[in-house]
Amino acid sequence: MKTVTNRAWLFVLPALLTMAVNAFIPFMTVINYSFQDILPGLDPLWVGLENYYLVLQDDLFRESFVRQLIFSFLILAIQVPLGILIALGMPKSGWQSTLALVAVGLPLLIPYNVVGIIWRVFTRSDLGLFPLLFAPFGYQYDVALNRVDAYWTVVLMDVWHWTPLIVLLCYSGLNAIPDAYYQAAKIDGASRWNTFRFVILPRLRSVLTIGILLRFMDSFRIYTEVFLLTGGGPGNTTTFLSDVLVRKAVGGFEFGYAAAMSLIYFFVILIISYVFFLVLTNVGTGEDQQPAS
Amino acid sequence: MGIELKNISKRSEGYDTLKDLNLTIEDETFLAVVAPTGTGKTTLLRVMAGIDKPDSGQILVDGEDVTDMHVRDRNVAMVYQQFINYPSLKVFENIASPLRVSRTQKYSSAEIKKRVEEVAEILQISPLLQRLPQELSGGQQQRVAIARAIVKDARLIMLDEPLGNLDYKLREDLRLELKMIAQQRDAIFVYATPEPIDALTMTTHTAVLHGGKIIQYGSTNDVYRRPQHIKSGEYFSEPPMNFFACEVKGQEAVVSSDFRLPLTAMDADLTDGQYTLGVRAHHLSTTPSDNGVAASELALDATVELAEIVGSDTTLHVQHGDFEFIALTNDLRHFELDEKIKIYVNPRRVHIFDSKTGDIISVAAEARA
Amino acid sequence: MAKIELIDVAHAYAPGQWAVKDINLTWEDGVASALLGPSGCGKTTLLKIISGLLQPSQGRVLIDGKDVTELDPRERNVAQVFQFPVVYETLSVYDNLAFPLRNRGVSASTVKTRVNDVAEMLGLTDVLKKNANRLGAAEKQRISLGRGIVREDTTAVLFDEPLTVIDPHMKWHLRRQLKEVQHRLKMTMIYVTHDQHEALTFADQVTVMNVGAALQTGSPQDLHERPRAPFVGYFIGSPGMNVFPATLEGNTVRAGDISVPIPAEQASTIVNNKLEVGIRPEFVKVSTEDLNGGFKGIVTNTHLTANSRIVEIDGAALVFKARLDETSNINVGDSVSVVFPDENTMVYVDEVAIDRATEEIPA
Repeated sequence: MKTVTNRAWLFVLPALLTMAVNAFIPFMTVINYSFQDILPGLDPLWVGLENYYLVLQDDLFRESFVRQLIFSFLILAIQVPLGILIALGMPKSGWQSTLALVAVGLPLLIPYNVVGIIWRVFTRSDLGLFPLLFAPFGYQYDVALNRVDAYWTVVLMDVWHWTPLIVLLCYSGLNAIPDAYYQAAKIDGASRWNTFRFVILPRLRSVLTIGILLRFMDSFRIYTEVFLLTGGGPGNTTTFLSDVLVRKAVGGFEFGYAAAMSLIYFFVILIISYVFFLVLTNVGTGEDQQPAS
Repeated sequence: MGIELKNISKRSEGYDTLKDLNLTIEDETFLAVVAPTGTGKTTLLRVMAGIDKPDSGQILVDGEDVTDMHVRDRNVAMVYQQFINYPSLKVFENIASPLRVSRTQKYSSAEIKKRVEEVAEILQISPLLQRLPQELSGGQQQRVAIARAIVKDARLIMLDEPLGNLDYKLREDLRLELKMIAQQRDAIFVYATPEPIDALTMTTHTAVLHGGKIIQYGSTNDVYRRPQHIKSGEYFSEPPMNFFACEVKGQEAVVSSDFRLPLTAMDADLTDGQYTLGVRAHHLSTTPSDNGVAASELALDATVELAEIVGSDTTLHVQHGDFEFIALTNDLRHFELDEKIKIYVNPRRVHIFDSKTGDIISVAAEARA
Repeated sequence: MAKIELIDVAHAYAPGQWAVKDINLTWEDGVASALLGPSGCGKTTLLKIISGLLQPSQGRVLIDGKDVTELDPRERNVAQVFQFPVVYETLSVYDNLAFPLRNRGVSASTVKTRVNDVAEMLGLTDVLKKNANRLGAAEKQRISLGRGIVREDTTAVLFDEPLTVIDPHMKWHLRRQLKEVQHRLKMTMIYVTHDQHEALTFADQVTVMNVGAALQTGSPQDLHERPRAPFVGYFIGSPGMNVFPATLEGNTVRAGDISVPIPAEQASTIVNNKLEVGIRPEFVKVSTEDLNGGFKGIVTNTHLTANSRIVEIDGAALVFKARLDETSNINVGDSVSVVFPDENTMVYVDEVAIDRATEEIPA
């Protein structure tokens, strides 16, 4: 019973303009760049698909791509279960819940560069917390030289920074489950695991889908914190895709090459995210969840 | 004077919701628009109020064409099924809001206070004036919404299933209050509902909406007693009217081998052919009637599917052969599931409709004026 | 299958604020019963106390004579069907029905026979393989009920307004099915609702509640004919009972110009109590001709219902409603003769009906 009038377009116009400036125009520019060789001081040269070909041949790109995938899956494998567990353990109402929400949410409020600096301080070999913690066990923690230390520290930093996002999403999802579901499970004699498996998990699916997609896409963009903490080292241990991209574009002034790389990068994220989305929304029932009533 | 809708058509979502609809509502009418949910009642109310513009046709108020007039200039008020109040305003301000924003008339604050208190009194919400809507129960919230609709002297007050979300007893109470309010006010009330009881209890007139047209309009009593179309009988009947396909051969209307009614008993003059018989649930009896017509009454063997108690009545779902139908008794009675009973059909209470067009052929003998 | 007793049950969510009080109720084994009352009357609290989701502040809950007050829902074996259908949405209908059995370690072959039996009874056989979440509200409620009755050790099934989200046209089919299942299994079932229609249709024994108290328990006919409290008279039946304030003069209760005699032994106990007289609109006799022992009244208002005509009458210094046949041609302004039949006239002392029968002395 809705009437469609042209006036509606007027209301969407600001959003459309913002979209154009923010997304559409830069995107077209990048596509344009990716087919050319653009070097400072020289006229752009049309090279067709040459840049794409070179990117795919590039060992640094390939290695960091694999590294990126391993990293992304690893942090998801840690953050999702951990986030659900923390959310389950949080108080449901009263001042305790407010306090818990603030405490859990705090890392999300800290800017990326500050996160990097904090963790940089944590790990400094002269006055950092980590070397100090490990010293009594006779272990010499060194983020600058030890590859293993560097890697797990980066993972830990990301877990610390981003698990709260999963916690908050799950927390809101948990609160939207009507009490009747828990009561029914109780009456049906379900164990705690069965209650989780058949009542809670299905009802968290939509928020988890959002959480996993966000975390996945976001982990592909990881740059600032790692740059400040390890600078991508030691060696290339913590060099992820964004880092490579920035090195090419800013350090190497290879705009065309970087543009092609970023487009490949973009499509990879898009395709993997889409696969995730399909899998997550089709698990179990193959249809969207009903809104919790 | 009054409101006149001329050849109104309105398409929405690809359907002809209203199609060449004509309706004239006289002054001091409390009109019920009866139709099942989702058949255009709301569209009709919105067009009447001026919230939506009809695709074609004219709306006249007291002879003046208001088709293109904006809803804010029309002096109408509307109450919805959902309890719609400004959540941040106290009840007093909620009720006062139409007076404060009125374009047609300015009200002094003393006048506003007087009017708000007056309608609050009528709707029994005086003690709640300083509360916020969220602190009220559903029934109280709807009372506030109704108060807001009647606080200014609107020419036209629209009510779109306002009692739909309320409890049974609350509905019963509010119906009588609305009837009283309408009797006291010099406005046209239009009340859309799928529930016949709303129309029967409150309204002076009833319009039955079907296929985008008004298929019957008249005094509520008349529309109820003398349906002019099969859909009129179906929609304006609670429980729904029972329909039986029958064949008229010679002097008899035959529904099945043991369900036959002589035309003379029905006092109907029919040519041979296919017809549909319509009998209201409360015209099917579980006991033979004690007056003179009893002789021609037909007794059917029936099995009780379910007896439902509604108010002070019992609704019986029964099965007779392949037919399922509904009878209504005016007392509280206990029936076992699958109990064998007799259902009595009084031929003088049977309406006869044209099977193809649905038009009435013969109103039940007993209901003829 | 069991008898359920509530003994002196009371519950307060906050100190001093009683949600239910002085509840003494018994549901015999195999009874189809209902708890009926407006929202906030305490019926849901009582339901939770029976199922074990809530521990009463006072009193005891007995199932088959055994004190279960301290037991949790799992141990009481009381099943419940909620207002909004609860199904395990990633599971098939079959697995949903099997869920309570599997949780208790029932063997696969028993699960199979039980689930198939219940599916048959509830008309779910054709959808057993389907995912439960794909079904409509009515089927989901059937599954909820099925999970309750699939266990052989279920002591009772509680229903919490189970038809709220069911399409109106589907409701009566589900009502019939509920009754059928109840008849077949002879299982104790308690149906909680604010809707008199639902309660009276389902139950053979209805308890009417208001503001935390159980006012009357009886068959729908009892509640209708002899409401033990004015609230029962108002809440059951449509329109509700006419109730008039009254005073005592000797052995006679007077409301307006009406006199109702009461037994002397009853009258002697009344001091400063609140007195009321009540009569249902359908029991008021009205005629345009003079009725034997009738008083005069004027019809002030009238409206229709589906099968009758309700008139409002002003007479004997009272204003009341009467229910007449739809064909009656009594209209506004008519002068009529009215009788309140003695056997249908109720007298209430402090909102409790007194026994007016003199010939038999109540035991």
